[in-house]
Amino acid sequence: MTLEIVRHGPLEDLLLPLSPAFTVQVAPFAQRYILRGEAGQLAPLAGAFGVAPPAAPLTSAQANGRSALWLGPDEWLLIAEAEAEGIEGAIEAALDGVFHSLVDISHRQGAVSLEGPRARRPSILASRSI
Amino acid sequence: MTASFRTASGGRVDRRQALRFSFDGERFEGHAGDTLASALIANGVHLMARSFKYHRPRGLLSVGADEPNALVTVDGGPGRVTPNVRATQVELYDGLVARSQNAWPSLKYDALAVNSLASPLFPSGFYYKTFLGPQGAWEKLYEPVIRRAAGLGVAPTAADPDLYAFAYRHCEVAVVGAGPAGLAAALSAARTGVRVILFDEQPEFGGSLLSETSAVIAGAPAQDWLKAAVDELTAAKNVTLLKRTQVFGYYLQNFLAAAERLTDHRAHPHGLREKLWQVRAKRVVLATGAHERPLVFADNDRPGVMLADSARELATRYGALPGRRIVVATAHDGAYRAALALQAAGAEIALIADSRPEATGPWPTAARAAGLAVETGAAIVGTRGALRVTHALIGKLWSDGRAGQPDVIACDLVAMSGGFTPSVHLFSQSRGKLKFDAASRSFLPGEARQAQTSVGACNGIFSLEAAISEGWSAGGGSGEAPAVQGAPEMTGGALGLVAALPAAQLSKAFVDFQNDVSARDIRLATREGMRSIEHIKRYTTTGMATDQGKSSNMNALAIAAEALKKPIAEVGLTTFRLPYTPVTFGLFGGPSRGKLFDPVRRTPIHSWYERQGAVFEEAGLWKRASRLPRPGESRDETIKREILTTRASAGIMDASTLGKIEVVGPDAAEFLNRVYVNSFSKLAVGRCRYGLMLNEQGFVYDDGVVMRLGPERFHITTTTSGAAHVWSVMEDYRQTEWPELKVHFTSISEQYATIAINGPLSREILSPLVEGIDLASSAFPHMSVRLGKIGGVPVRLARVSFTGELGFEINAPADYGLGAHEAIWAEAEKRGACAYGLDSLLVMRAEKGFIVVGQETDGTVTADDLGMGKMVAMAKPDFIGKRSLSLPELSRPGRKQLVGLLSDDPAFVIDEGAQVVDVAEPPPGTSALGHVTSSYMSPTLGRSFALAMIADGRSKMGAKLYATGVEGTRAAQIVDPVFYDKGGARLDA
Repeated sequence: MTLEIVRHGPLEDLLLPLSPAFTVQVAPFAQRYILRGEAGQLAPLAGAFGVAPPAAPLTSAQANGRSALWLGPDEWLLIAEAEAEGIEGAIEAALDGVFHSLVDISHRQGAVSLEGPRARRPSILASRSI
Repeated sequence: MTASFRTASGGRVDRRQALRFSFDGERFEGHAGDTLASALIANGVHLMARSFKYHRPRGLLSVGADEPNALVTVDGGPGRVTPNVRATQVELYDGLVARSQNAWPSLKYDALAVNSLASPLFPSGFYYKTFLGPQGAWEKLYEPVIRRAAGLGVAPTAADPDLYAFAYRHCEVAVVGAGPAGLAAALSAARTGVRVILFDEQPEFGGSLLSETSAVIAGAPAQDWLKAAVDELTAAKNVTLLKRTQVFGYYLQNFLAAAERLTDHRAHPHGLREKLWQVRAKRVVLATGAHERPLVFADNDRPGVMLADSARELATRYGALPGRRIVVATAHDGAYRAALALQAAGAEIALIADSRPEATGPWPTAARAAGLAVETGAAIVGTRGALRVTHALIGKLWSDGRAGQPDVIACDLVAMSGGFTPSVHLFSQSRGKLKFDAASRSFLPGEARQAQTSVGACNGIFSLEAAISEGWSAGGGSGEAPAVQGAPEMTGGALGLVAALPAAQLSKAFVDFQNDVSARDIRLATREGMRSIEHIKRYTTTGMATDQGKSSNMNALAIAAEALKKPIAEVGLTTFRLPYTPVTFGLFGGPSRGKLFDPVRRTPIHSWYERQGAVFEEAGLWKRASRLPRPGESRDETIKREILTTRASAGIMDASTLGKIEVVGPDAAEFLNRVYVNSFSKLAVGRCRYGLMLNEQGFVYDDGVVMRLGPERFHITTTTSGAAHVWSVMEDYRQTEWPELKVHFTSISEQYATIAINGPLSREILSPLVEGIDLASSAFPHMSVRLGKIGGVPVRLARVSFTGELGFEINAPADYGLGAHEAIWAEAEKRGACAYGLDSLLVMRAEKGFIVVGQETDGTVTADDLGMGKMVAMAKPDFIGKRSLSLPELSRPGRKQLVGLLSDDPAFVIDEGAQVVDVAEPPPGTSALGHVTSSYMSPTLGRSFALAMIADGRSKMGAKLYATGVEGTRAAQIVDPVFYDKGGARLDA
């Protein structure tokens, strides 16, 4: 009998509110990486990962289910679908010779998605205890 | 039924609908647009409060945020009772319930008004005299009595049901204050397209324009121009308008904090009550206006004595007539405008008494032309009346400053004006330097320390046209500022006592109304030897009330300067402190309340330990299992079983809370060389090394294991509670000290769950589970790390031990932690292993002499003190703390060193923290040689043992010492701190 280890996400037991104004759900598992490096040198990621890390603060780039989110002047969060393979290898190859740090943090975070016409109001995010 | 003092028409209140409210149980009516204060005035009510110390009857001084007297309690229902709210800032709504404070049994018949009679006994600082004795009298008599009599308002006791949130914004231009200057700045900035945020603490934008009835701006009546301006700003997509929002703090680098009140003005509040705005602006425009100054004369605090411009605003903006027969006492032209406005609203102006020798400006001229009686060179020296002013005493001023025999003039309102003080609070908070302007005798914004401009009245510019023009150019837009007509200039002002008063009357000439500080108190302070304005302020408490001296600072300063015989500029102002106006606690709490106040952190494996019935303790915010008791076991029995089992077969433990950081880059090893005492350049890939971190003072502050995963990649561990701090120290040094090093850090504390397995059977337990790693000792020596899999899950497997037994740590991705633990437990249980907790771990590591940072160390312990001197690679060019290590203090003889301690009685466990001395019965005053840092009963050794830090401990092996305790000292002997398997043979099982 081969050992199978079950994956338990950190938000498995989360109780979420129901509302006509918005939909909130635990997001499916994803691959996540923290990429650190110099903004101007990371363009090769567009080919290797699917999106290039955006240089403008507080912005994200998205394409085909992949995203790159700006976290700081030298830090980005890369998100890809859980089943994707070879992401780390592809990025390392594309950035060969360019100083950077790529660290898998797929399990460090969980995600909740918030959708609906009123989803953008920050008071929703700030006012409820989750 | 219309309130009896409501003007026939005019004002911005909505006269179509009556709102009902109650004050001290009495029912009244007002309108939307009223404040509680203006609605009370419209109903002829002036008595609103009793003063803090003397319980003198008080009414409104001002209609603005600077109001010092009319503090009320607003009762919004259970959990919504708010004390100490200024009645001038309570927006009226239907059903409002408010109460006066600080009076018993009622506002009219307040028993503590006797304080007023005894007031000669209670000048400023009277309580300092009570400290002089007799001994015990302060605690037993004075303090309880003072405490009962003092204070304003009653603190609420029910939990606050409301919600508060935070909002964060960046913008190019932040404008504070939406009066004419601020609006001009906001319009001008908005038209350039940049992001603009405009703040105003009132429910409507406009500031002084809200009561402006004669000026014409850009060809339109002022209030029409105001509406057009607000409409334009509302429509602009790049403008955020925040009304009811008080900017209360100006911090460094143009960081502003503001409190937005969202529901206090609603009869049935729901949703967020307040929002804390935290804004970072590229430029700030301060348009905070000016506060009118009261005149200082005897009995200037009676209900019905108020600021002239506030009286005018009551009539013109709120449609509330503050009196029918008014005496105007002034040193400023503005009071003449007020007199004309009040007359137009239906009042009789009995007299305008101007303390200046002459008044020739446009407004005095207009007043005379309208037939008002004006007397110059005449000052108000007193008032009469009990719960309301009935007479004003006006005397001709002599050249020496005294006044002649006063005329007694009947009136029901005294409108007074000492001029206007620019509101420089926020400028001062931003660390700007104030400069004293001799011409206007006021402190104006001088050299700014941040990217900001002050415009309008807060910059000493009182002409409406000039204020709008100044605001317009500060906004940065092009084009012409709107032109202004019909706003003639006003000048004048007085500081301090308006006429010299006989000594007996000085105690009734109030300067700080809220703290009941009189002119006499300020002079007393200087007589008692206070010279600095900071001491005078604290001795008298002037300027220290919730109004922060808005209407009192300049008068207090003038009186102090005169008493000290120094110019005002030399005496100077005290520091303006945050917040500008009081802020609720809820606002700062924001969403951090209830469960979110102190969030609980649980590891991915927590539920397994919970099901096993583990006892948990807190390590920072984390829950960690202390032990896993079997039914009927005592604590000691559990620990004994866990330790004996682990050392005999194996034990597993959840070590997931440890901090973990991934260090990546070509200069990773070099960076680690600089933050640890050890050297990592030669650490081979796949090997681990225990690292010790010093702070810049050379003291140990964290430790952990450094694992090399690749030439340019390390996985380091830190203590549980030190994780965030170590990460930020590393990031700080990378960014500010060694930016040339190519290295980055990523926190992975929560990325991995960590399972420790220790004991001679550890390898046997892991073997069936681990794929891709040769676990044999020759292939996988102690202090190594390998990458492999368990059940298909990639793991980082380290061979490390904190117990001294053969040990491994499995780092599995967090979501697989629970499953991995269950798999390992299944194999472990078969072989008679146990799970153990922190209690057992602490004993086992101490048996091996391993330190715990924060237990053996206290921030003053060096590596050498711990016996780890050899670990410090002094040959390295630099590392944090290296310089300090060469200080004589850090290597002198007599320093406390880590040793073991065995009590003579093997069954006796010495207290942790016990002081250690060298005599059996130490007399009082004996210095300790050191203290016990860890102390346990050891099942492994079959006796008690301890670790201690003792002066010169290493050279005292075998010495007999005494450990103190509650029941006297116990003899003990200094021994080697490693009690078990000193050679380390068990690590290689």
